[in-house]
Amino acid sequence: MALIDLICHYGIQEKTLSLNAASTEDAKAYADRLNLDALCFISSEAALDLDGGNANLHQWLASDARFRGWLRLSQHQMDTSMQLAHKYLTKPQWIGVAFAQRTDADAVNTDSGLELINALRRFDCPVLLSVTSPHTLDAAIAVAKAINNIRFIISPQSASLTSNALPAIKSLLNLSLLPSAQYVERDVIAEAVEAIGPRRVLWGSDWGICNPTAAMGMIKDSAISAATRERIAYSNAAALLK
Amino acid sequence: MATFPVFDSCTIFGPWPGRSADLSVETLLKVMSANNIARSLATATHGIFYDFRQGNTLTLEAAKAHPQQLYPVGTLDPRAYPACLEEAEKRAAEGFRLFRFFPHYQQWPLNYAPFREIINKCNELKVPIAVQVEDPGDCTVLADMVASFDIPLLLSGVRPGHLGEALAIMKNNPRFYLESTYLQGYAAFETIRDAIPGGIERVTFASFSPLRYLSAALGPVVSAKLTEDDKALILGGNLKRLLEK
Repeated sequence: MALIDLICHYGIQEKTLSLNAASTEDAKAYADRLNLDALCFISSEAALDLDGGNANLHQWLASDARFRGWLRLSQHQMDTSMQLAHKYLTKPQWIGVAFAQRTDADAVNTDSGLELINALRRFDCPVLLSVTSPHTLDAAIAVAKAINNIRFIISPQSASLTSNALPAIKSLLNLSLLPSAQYVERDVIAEAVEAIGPRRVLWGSDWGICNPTAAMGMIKDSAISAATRERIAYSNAAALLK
Repeated sequence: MATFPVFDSCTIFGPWPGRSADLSVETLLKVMSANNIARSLATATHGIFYDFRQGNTLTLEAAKAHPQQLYPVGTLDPRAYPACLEEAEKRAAEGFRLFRFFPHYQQWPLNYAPFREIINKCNELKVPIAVQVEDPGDCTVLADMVASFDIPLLLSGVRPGHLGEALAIMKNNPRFYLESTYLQGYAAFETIRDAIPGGIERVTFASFSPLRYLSAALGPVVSAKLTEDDKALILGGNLKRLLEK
């Protein structure tokens, strides 16, 4: 099956401090083994150092033509975020922008969040939003409604948020779901396809935090057709990567 | 998929709050069959979320109806003290192989007098226990409570974020085992192997199927950089040995 992994993690991960860290060679081996077309990384270091973290990721992306990046930005650092957007989003390695809504205080539907995301329209790239609470889910939905000519992707960080997101985002055609195998219960993938359509369900493994075979198993066991499986695992992401 | 029969230390059946998914015994058996799971330790969800006694009755009925595939695992609710003590004795006499505790779902703290007493009872009855330990600190509290126990204890719900704590506990107490359900972290099993001498011998495959995707649970074990013998231990050998003790 053709594959694009839309969410991988670069750098030291808070969730896996006691585990052996994944290396560049591990990432390449994963891409080789599963014949991945692309792996799309987010920098964990950028949560602390927006500039340095993204810069280190940019440098690292050059180590393999299959490596792509999500540019991590923050509405708490407007000027730096805009500078980074101008610096990187015109480069082919970067597929879009990521906002980590780690707490309710990071909700993107603030004045500064909306201003920043609005300013990103010129780059015509998708925006990935992590969702960690009902408040941040509402925030993601509000922003997708307000700026309906940007493609948004939400990545819910719990089983309940994943399930609750489906009815909430059903009518928002510019909002797609990227479920995580860490949290997804069976058969949320099939439910998502039914609720929001196969073109709005995406796939990623959280490589760097998770063993990607868990995400492979998730999609393998879902009661969906082979064509839908291929769409989720590849075509939908390919359209994002252009 | 594993090429040898697999034993699953944690499966469930029955309704799940807020979910309309079919988690019936039939679905569980179908999922087991599709993934070469020879046997599983199963618990009725009624026991977790409604009434532990009724749940245990349903569990026993399912195990009797499918003796080749299902082993009965009871659940005891310490909030129902002292009735939970009688239930432990009754179900141990009926052949329950393990008792499971769900403090996270039932929202009671581990440092809880009825829980202390009921797990002491399980130790007297020589029935192994599995305890849901979903938050950092849970394993440590549990370890302090069971220092002198004889029975095996399975840590259920350990995630990569607090695996380090679980490893520290396992290193100092050979009674502790680890269930694999949420150990999807990158190189988690390799880390266990490297951190704890004989650590792989204390990991049991646990899918929480059919609530969770079974292949998502199997994949990290089957693809881990372990010997085939080590994988076989995780996927069944350790659990068989634990139940035979």
